[in-house]
Amino acid sequence: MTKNGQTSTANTTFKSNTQGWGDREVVITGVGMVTPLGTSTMETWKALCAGENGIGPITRFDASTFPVQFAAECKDIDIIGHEEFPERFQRIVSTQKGKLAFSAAQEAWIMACVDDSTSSRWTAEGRLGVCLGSEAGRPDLATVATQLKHQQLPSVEDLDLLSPRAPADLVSKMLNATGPVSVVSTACTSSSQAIGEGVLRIRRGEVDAMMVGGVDVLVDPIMVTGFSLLGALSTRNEAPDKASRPFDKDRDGFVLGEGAGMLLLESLDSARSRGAVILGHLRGFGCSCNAYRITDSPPDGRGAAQSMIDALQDARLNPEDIGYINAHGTSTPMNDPSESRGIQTAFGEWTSKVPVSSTKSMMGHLVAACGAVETIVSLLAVREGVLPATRNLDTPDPECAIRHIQGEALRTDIEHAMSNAFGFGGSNGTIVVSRWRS
Amino acid sequence: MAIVITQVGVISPFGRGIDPFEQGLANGVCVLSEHPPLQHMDSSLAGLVASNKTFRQYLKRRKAAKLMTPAARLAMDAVGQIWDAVGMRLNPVETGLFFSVGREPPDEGEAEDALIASSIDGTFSEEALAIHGRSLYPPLLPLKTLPNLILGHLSIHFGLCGENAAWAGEGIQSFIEGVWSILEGRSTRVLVGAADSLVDLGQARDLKRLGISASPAEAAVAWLLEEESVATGPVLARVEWNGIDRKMSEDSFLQVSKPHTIRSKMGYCGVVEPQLQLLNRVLQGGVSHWHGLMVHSNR
Repeated sequence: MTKNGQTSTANTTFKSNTQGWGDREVVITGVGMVTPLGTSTMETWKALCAGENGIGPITRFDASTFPVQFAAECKDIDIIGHEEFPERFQRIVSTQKGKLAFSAAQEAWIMACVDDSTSSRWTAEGRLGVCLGSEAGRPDLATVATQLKHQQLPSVEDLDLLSPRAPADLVSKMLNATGPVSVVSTACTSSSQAIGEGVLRIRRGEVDAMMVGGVDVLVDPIMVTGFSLLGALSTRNEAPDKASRPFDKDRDGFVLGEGAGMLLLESLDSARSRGAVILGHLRGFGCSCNAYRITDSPPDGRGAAQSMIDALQDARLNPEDIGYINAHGTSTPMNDPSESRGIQTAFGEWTSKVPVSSTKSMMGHLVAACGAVETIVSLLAVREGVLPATRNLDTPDPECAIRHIQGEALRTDIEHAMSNAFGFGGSNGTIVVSRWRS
Repeated sequence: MAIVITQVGVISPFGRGIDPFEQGLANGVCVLSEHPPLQHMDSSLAGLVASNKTFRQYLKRRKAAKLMTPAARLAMDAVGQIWDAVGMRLNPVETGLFFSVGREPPDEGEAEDALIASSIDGTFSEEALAIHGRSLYPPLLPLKTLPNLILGHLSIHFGLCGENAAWAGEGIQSFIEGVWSILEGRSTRVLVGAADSLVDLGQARDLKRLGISASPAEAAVAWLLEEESVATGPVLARVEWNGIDRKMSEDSFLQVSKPHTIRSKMGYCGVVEPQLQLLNRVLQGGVSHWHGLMVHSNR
C-alpha cells in the first residue's frame, strides 16, 4: 500500500499536495566529500569511475591481533580556515570527525560560490540552516584507560566532543549559519534523512539554503571489535581489496569505513537570484521503517520498497524515469538480496532495465555518511553520464536478480538517479536526484 | 487541515499514565528518591520510574528486551499506552513515527570490564583488547548505543513502517516534524514523542559536569496526532504551526531548557522535559506556545 492507501505497483501514483506546502523547487549548488578514495569530490569520483580500491590494512591502530584487520580509512587531511574559531570549535575540528566534516562542508561552500552579500543576508535573517546525519562520538581509548586506572572522570570538553551534535555545530559556526541546526541519528540512514530534512525545510520556506550531509568515523578498536562480534564484517584479511563485494555470491560482510559528504541545497529562487551554477535537482525523498528486526532486513525487502516508492512519488516520477540506482549494497549476506527484492517490488518490469551498482565495493561502508556521499555519486552519474560499476562482482548472487553494472563503469546519459540507504534498526531512506533543466 | 491530539502516553517518576502525572504535579509532590548507584555523588537523589516492566507486554519477542536501553523500554511503554487505546485502528503505513532521543550512554559503561582488561599498566593496548578484552566485550553493545534503535524497537513491536526519524538531542523537534508530516500529506497520523534515562552513574556525573544541578531522572512521553477528519477519539488538544523560530536551533543537549516546576519535582529527564512541559500545559488548559507551535487545549 502507498501512504495514500492505493495499491503500490511499479507505476507510482502521485500525491496531491492539497495544503500548498512544499512548492519550492530544491536544487544543489555545492557538494563536497572526503572518502577513502580521495580528499575531494573529483578525486573520489575519478577513482570510482576507474574502479579503484580504497580498502586496505588498518593503519589507525595495530590490528594485527584482531579478527578483522582491514578497513576503508581516509587519508590524512590538512585543513585551513578554522584558525580564528573559539576554543570549543578548535577542539571539535581537531578530531578526525571534525576534520572530515569541516573539509567536506568547506568544499561544498566554495563550490557554491556564495557571495558575501548573500552570505551576510542569510546570517542576518536566519535563512541558512544545517542538518547533519551523525552518531555519538567514541572516546579516545588511551584516555579512557588512563581515566579508569586513576578513577578520573571525562571532562566537560570530552563530553562535548562525544555529542552527535558536535559536527553540526562546527559546520554552522564555519558558515555563520543562524537558521535551524539539527542532527538526525538513524545509523546508516542518518545522512539520507538529513538531506530529506533539508529538502523539506526549503520547500516549506523556512530557509533559503541548507548545508546537509553526514560524517562518521568508525575505524577504532572498539567498533572493529563490536561489529566483528556481531558477525557483520567481512573477514577476508588475506585480500582486503576483494572484501567488499556487494551482490556477489561469495560476499561475507561489510567493510567499516569513514568519511563525510556535504551538499549545499538551495531554493531555486535563491540560486537563480544570485546567479549560482545549479549542479542538479534534489527532486525526491522517501523514508520508511522495516518493522522487522533490529539487525536483519526483511527477506522480501518491503521497507526498502516502500522507501523507494515514496521517493518516486515525492519526485513525481515513474520507475522507467530512473536511469541508475546507487544501491545501499553493503555486501552482507542479508542486505543485498533484501534490497534486490525491494527494487523488484518498487520497479516491477523495469527492474531488468535500470542499472544498479554499489560504490561501497570501492570505499567501504561510511555508515552515517554513506547516504550523503552516495547521493553525491548519484548526482555526478547524472551530470557526467558515467555510472560506476560494482567492484568485485565476479559471480552475481542469483538471489540478487537486478541489472548489475559489472566490470567497467557504464557510459550512458540519464536524467534521474536514485540513492538508497538502509540502517540498523530498520530505518530506510531514498533520495532522487535529477539533471537540472531550466 | 486541522490537526488534533487524541491520545497521550506517559511514564515518569510520578507513575504510568496521564493521571498520576497530572495529579502529582497538581499536588506538588516531590518524587525524587534515593538511588544507591549514585551514593558517592553529592546527592544520590534521582527521579526513578518505579516499575519499568510493563513494556514487556508489547514485545513481539521477549528476548528483544536484551537489546533495549532503559530509554527504549520507557518509550515502548509510553507508545504502548496509546496502542492499548487505539492500536488496531492505526494503519501501519500511514502512521508516521518521530522520536527525540538523548545521547545514549557511551561504551565505557558496560564495556568497562573489557576496557580494564585491555589496559597494561593503565595504558590502552590494542593487543590486550584483542586477547583479553574481546571476550569481555558485550557483543550487542554497538547496537544498544545507536540512538535510533528506540525508533527501531517501536517500529518492530508495534508494526509501524511509515515515515520516521530519530532526532538526537532535540526536545520538541519530533513533535514539530510530526505536525509537518500530516500538514504535507505524508501521514494521516503520527506517533511522536521523546524518551531519555539519565539515572545511571555515568550520565548523572555527566550532567553535573555540564552544569545541570537538578537530580537526574528518566521518562518517556508519546502523543498521537491525527487529521481531525480521521480522529480515533475525543480531542485533547488542537495543534497549529505558525512557522519556524530561529531559537529552535538552540535546543541542544547542552542548552536544553530552563528550570521549571517539573524539574524540581521529578528531576531532569533530558530531551523529554520540553514535551512533558508541553503536556503539563495541555493538561492545565488554555493555549501553549512553543516557538512557532501553538497547542490549544480542549480542557
